[in-house]
Amino acid sequence: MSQIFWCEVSRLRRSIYNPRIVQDPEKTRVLKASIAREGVKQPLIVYDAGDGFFEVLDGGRRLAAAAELGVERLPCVAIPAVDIPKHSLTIHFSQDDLTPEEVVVLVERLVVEEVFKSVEDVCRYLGVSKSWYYTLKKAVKRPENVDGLPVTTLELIERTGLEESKKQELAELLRNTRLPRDVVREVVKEVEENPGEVAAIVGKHVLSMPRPLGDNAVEASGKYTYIIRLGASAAEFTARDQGQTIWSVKIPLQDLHVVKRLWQHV
Amino acid sequence: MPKMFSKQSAVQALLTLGERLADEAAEKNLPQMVVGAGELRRLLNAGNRRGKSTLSLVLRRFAASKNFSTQRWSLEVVDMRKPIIVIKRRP
Repeated sequence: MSQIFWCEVSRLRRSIYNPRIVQDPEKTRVLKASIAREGVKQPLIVYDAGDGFFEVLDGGRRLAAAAELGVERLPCVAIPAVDIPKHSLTIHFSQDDLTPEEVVVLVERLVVEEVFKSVEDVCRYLGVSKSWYYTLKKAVKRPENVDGLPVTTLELIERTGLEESKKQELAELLRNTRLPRDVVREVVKEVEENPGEVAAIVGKHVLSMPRPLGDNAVEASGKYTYIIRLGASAAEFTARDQGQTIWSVKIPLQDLHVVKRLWQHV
Repeated sequence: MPKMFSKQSAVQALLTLGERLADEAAEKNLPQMVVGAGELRRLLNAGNRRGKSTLSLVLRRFAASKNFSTQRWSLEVVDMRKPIIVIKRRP
């Protein structure tokens, strides 16, 4: 192994072969605190870029944190500037905190750049099976037909412990509705408790959302269909079961706020 | 701003953005395209979506670098704040 040497931060830059696309903000914060307290203890792996700079292959986050904290010099280990893409793959492949997407993007890129002849060649080099790689790639593929969903809803679904097919079914059903976020959260929670009844649960919540019914009237359905119609002096609250009116009450408009408050105390 | 989400979603947001911009560039037959905040807003916020805010969140909190390369495109973030992005299609 080469000797450790100290290099000025101004002469270091991140290598284009560093495969990391995203970082965990929390880990970055911890790293910065650690560097501020003890400095950089683990040397960066660098190679000579040939223009007076060293490119950092492993230690991009340490470099960024140190630069932000105003550290002047960092410990580095230089490797020969040959086969850098291959070195990058070897070094980063063993790092558990790379996301599957980052691994797949790097592997595909190295094949396109003709560093390796094929994906099979990469797998042989890494000592992993082809099926392992293709399973990873399949996992990375975005599930189809969920494009219209906000990322936050997708994330809510992702966080559940549901099977992949159930997740897709739920995402597909939610895509066709426009439920508010708190209702979506309720739906996801109920589906988690009852994974067999995804469609029924989503349907129930969609029907329970108030819908306009002509002028000055809204309806929502649960076991019965409830209708509130605002008149000139009173609000009429009706419950119907299959077209039959079960009960109906009239609340004077000036007392509506009293009823609302009462309701909030139930 | 949308709420926090995982870095897995962040990386997917970046990759999706790169793919969409690369498709746009391919349609217009441009090898390189500079995309500003306005264009990003039009592209990502269509249909009442919050894609642009999500992108800002991703770039400010999650991005590990200013350059991202895949087999089809490379993307350079010139300004993280606005944001301004340069997309290059790879031959």
